[in-house]
Amino acid sequence: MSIKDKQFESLVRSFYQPLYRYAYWNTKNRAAAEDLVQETFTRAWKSLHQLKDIDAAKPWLYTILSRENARRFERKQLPMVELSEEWQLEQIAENQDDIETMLLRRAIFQLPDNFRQPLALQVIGGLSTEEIAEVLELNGNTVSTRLFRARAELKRQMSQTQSIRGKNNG
Amino acid sequence: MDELEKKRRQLADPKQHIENFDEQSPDNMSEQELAQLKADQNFERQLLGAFSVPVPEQLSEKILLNQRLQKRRNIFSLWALAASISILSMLSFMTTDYSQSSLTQQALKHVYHEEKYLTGGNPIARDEIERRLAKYGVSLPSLPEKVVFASRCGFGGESAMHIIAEIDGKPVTLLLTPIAVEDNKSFGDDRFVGKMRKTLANNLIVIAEDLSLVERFFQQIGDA
Repeated sequence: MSIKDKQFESLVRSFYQPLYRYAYWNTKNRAAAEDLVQETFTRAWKSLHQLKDIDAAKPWLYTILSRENARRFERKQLPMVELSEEWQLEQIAENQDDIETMLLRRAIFQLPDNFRQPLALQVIGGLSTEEIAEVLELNGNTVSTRLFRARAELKRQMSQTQSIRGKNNG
Repeated sequence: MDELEKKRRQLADPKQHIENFDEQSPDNMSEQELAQLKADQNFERQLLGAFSVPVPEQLSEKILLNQRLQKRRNIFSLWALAASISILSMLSFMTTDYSQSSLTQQALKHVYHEEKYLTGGNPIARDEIERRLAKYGVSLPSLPEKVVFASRCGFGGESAMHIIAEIDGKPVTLLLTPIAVEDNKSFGDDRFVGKMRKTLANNLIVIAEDLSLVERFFQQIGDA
């Protein structure tokens, strides 16, 4: 196995999970997310020589994924059946998920893309505000504002839901 | 920093905010701050849980397998490309370089073989030249000024036309051949230089003692 093969395998094993999750929240579709991660790593393999610093691997991979995601819309798309939000959420539900998690997922699902993307990069990828700005090609203040608004919106929705649940239970 | 900005930063990057609080002793925190910290920690935990959708099993293996297959395909493509280039090079050498090189050698040899016609010929009338060209089935945009020899010959094993013109008293040979020539290819030996031209109508090989004579000949026949 060559050095390049070893580096690549190490990148895959380290990042495939958070990248898949980020891809999922970009596409809201499990199959599309899997394809997107495959395409991201295919592109990463071809461009591995550009990665000079292993510490930069994380934002580099998220940048590739974001660009590949944008390319999806440039390519000729086959007609797709729009699957319901309910069905999509069921696909990612696990037995151990509590009601709060499921409600929060629904709220994340409904966030606009420009709020959900930076939040996903921060929570899933652990990227700093500066790194998110670089990946999404935004300035740092815009990223901070969007992160702030995304969290505020999620908290508002959660609080609203809890209030409705409280009334129904009480 | 006012309270609003502090709250904004806290909401934008709560991880940093929580870490900052962790560095402080809880004793130094107000009850309100402590409650806020716990609420933030709880929300971030919930958020991480909600974002952590299940990842397909064996995804990493699929990615690695895909990359290995891709690598193999690339190696095969490179091998196929290299093989194609080699075959093309061989064919090109066989059909162009070799034959063209052979053709130029034959042209020089042909001139030496018919060297006796290079000197002392009488000018041939223009209508006679046109008649001979027509008989052969070819024509030139314009005729050389002084032609001293014009005859059918078997150059290259084909039915060709051999013309000798004079420019400044020096002979210039033209071979009109059905054999394909490489356009603008020059060649020569110690005595003669030649140049081949490919036009829509003709394959021309012109040979003289000097390249300037060759070029002037092409000008005379309107094929410069």
